[in-house]
Amino acid sequence: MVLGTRSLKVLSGVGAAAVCGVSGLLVATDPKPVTAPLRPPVTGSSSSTASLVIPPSCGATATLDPSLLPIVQQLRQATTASARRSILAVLSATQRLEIEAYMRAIARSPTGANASCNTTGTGGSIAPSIVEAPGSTQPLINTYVS
Amino acid sequence: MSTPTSSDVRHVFTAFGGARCEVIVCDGNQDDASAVVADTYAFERQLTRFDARSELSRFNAAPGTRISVSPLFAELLHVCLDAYALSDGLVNVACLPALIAAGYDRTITEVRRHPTQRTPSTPRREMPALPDVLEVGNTWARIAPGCAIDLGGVGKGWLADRLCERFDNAAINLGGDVRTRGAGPNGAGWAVALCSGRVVTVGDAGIATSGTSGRRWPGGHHLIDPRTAAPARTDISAISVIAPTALHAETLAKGACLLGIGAADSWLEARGAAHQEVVRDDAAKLSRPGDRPGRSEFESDRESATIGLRERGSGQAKPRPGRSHDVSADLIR
Repeated sequence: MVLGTRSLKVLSGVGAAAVCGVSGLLVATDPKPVTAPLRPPVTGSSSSTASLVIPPSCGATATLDPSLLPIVQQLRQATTASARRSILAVLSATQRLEIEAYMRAIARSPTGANASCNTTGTGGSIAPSIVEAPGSTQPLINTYVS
Repeated sequence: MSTPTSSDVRHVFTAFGGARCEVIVCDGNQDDASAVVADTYAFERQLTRFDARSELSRFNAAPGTRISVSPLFAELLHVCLDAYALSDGLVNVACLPALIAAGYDRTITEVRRHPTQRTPSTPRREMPALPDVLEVGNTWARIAPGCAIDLGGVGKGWLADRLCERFDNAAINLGGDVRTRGAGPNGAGWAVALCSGRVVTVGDAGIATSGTSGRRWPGGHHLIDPRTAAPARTDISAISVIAPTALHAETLAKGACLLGIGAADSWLEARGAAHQEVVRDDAAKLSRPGDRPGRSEFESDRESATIGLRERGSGQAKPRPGRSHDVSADLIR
């Protein structure tokens, strides 16, 4: 049987419509993930959203002069403090500060290397060890009101 | 005893409006220490409020508009918001208008030399919440009209942490904001004198002191209480706090100083302070800040040191982590 050009176009259109229809039906009947609703409620607040706390410092993504990004990569790969200082030594003071601020911001962000962002971002994880020095000890450093 | 060895590198310098700073490096060389000094000066140039060309001054001069900011300034503004949250709003860097109103409108040297006479009749009101007046984006920031920022100790604490973290064994002191890492010059830790004169040895720690006895001039001092937008009225002359980082310690020391002796202990304990040391302002019972013209920070340092030496000689207990040690109260008893 020989079909004309017009018949072939009609059959092609019908076939495409059938494929799209079946695909749409499959998508519509596919179960949606419960934890990530496609249509979250726009009114009211559930208990989960009410308890959600977004730390003030976690909203932004740090940026840096692209020419300094290779330095950041080198710093990440360095395994010792001495190696990191050697990398920083070739930079200007301003560049060093910019890079350290950038790396600090990345580390504090929720998607950062250690995802350590929290509401008490001024703190750290070190527990200081404190021992009263013997009475004869001369202080090496003074802390004072300045 | 904790003394530098011949192989250690020690630089003492002045920055942040005349504050004594020092860097002691046990695992680095002269160039490393020089870089710390250079970075401190670069930081000050970029973020001082006493130079109209600084990034901070340009930001403060354009309230209400989004200003493009450097990664350093953006990070510090985020840190300021963190410090505000950690301190329940007691550390509010949007205090610059109040500082200027109190008379701190030039460098501290100039203010002491030629203090501006202020009339305290203006009714005080609470400062606005920092998150309400400061927006920080990826590369921009905005301060609300009528507001301005002074980074103050928050900036120094952040910088002390970053500079010290370049080393495994070093101590950085930026005008009283101290960060230490490692076991010190001879492995016994870092001997640090607190505001009371007591000397403690620490390993990895941040130490900071806040109070009303430092930057003081006839008619006021530099510690602004955001609840009144005026120089703080507190019964704490100075308080040293030890915490994991210098920034953490600085934030807690300032907040505790504003709260006063009665509330400081529990407040600090709940926020991660490892130890605190208080020098009571006995004169505060008789007079308030601004009533003691001409009292310099050097005089107050001498007074603290004297108290501390007497206290140490009296055989008091060792520092108790998480508890304050009120030197004046011990002497009274």
